[in-house]
Amino acid sequence: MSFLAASEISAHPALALLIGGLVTIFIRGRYAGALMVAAPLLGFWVVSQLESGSSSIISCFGQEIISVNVDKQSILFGYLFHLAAFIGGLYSFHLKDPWQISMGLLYAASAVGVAFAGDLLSLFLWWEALAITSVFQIWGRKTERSENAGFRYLFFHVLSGLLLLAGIAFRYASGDADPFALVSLTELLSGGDAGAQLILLAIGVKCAFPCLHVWLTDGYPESTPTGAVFLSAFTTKAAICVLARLFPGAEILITIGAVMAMFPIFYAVIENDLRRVLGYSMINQIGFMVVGIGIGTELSIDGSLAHAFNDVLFKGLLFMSMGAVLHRTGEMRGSELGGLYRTMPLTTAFCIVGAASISAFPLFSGFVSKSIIMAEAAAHGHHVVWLCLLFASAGVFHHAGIKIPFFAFFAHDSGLRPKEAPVNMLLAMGFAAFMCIFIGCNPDWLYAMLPGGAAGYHPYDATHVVTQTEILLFSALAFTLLNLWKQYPPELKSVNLDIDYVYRKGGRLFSSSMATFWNGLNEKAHAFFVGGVAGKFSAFTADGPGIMAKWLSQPLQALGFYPGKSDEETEADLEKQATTGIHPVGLTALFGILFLLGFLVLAWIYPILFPPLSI
Amino acid sequence: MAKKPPKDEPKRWLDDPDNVRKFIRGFYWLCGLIILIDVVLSIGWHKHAAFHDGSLLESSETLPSFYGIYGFVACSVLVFLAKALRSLNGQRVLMRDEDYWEK
Repeated sequence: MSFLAASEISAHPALALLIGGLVTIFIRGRYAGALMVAAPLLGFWVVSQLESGSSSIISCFGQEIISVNVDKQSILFGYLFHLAAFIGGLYSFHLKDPWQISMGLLYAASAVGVAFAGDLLSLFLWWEALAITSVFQIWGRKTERSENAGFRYLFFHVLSGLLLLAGIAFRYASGDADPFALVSLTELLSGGDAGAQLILLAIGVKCAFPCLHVWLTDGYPESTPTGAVFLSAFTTKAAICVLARLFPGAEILITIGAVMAMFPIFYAVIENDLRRVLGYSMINQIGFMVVGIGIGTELSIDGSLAHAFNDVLFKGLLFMSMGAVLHRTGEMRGSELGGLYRTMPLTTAFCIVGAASISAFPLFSGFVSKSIIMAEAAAHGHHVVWLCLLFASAGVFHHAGIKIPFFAFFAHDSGLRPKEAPVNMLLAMGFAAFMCIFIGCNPDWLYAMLPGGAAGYHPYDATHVVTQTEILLFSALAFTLLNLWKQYPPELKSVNLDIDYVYRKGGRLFSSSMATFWNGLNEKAHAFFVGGVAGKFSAFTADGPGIMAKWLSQPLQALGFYPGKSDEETEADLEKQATTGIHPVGLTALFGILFLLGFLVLAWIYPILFPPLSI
Repeated sequence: MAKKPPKDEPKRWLDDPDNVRKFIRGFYWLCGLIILIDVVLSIGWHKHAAFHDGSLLESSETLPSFYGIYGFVACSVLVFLAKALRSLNGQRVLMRDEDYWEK
């Protein structure tokens, strides 16, 4: 086995983050915080030195694994994940928990690994690492709720890994010349190939496809204030990166994406936990990306990748502003928050920038990427999907754009007067806010990094600016009027049932029915064997000889073994001898002879009763 | 629930209901303005159609205020449907007590 046998690049792009993650296991305090900021910066520089087309191949047990393959898309995501790790590291600078710090860096490294994976085998490795390293951001909260949510989260991600492995096994068994190649499986999928279907399902779990999405809305809101920033950046975007490689133009994705863009906004409007609102709005944004990949033109996929890039920044910014509120107040329920703008004005401002970006206001980043997908959906005649996406665009402004800042920082005065967020958090939010506006104003900077360069697309067209502003303003008008007319659903202390009802209730039913059945069986068996048979057996071995002796006393007396004793005296003597185990030698010898005689008789009778068969 | 704010707190601009009303009035004007711009753009200029397939959407999407009406209606539908998802005619549908999963 020789590592880097035929390599063109000397170090894996994730190496800086990997080393950072391993070193921070052992160091504490400010050094760990500094490393959380420095490792992503170093990694960012490494990515900038990579050349498209280079790769690295490892030979392992006679199998060649393409551990790294560099192309425009992997460089784009390499930059993105290092940027996100840098922002997350700055935001988490104050963290003391070494688990969260080192696992956060390793989590970022896994995402980079997924982006640069050259074949399905190396993808699988990083895919599993993504699952395991991420859950510590949830467990880091150290509450019973977060522990349980973490296990439910892990269940889905282990499932995703197993599905991917099964898909890879099917691909290997298919007899293709290059079964592990990371190329489009769209044709295989439409041909009904089981391997392609399983791989799509594996990606679907991580992309939060409808009904496979609950790990996201369940897990993210239970994570630590800083953990949600990491979680929101990596898992789903890495999955989008792989989806764009493996299933461009798969028609089913258009429908799936449209459903993903639609259904979460209804939940988001009535959800009380503001980070769960962001979780739902995240699924809604991923829905746009999935539609773009499903349309499958070079421009629409560019749109999806650009939107993934922007989503990491503005969703990260929103999660950071909510994390700052949670960090300062310990509260995340909309019903308990409100009026925080008084003492957290900078956090409020950054939150509004994030809200404007996700809502795709002109000059903010969402505007330059979401519109590519919308335009391509229209250009390829997807009428219903386009109307759905337009509905979702209005809806996202409603719940993420207005609801999040409104209920946290304005609305009724909760009386809470927390301090402004710590400096490191403000710096991280400020940087993300700057990036949101920078990309919104200089879309070409982002477009130049896209595989297709978003060729031929110009976001700042008068029609587009006016119509987009119009739909957003009138969505806001609806919010304002409904609020003034007291028609807007108030924030209530509540939870809403989602598809998790099926498995959480089902799981409880399963465990309670299993407990009833197996414990019942156990009790019955216990009662039968321990309480019944064993008791009888021990009673038999204890009392049996005495009872036998009593039975035998009459015949033995009649045979004249005990001359000069009454029947009662003989019975009492024999019973005493039997229960204490003391018999006169004569009696013991008699029983021995009788016993052997019995056998002789049996040996003589048996062939007569059961004659051997003559064939 | 709502704690009493400290007494010596400076009054912010938004603490005055009159200012909130002013803000909302400004917002209404903005909505009117954007419709006006849309009308001018549709009549005096030319709008780029998103669709080019001669469908009903192509002719309606370019109408002035199509996006405004769609946005307003969409958000109203969204809110009323979402409310129905919470509870319908007094019957709760998806909403449960906060400690539902801890019970």
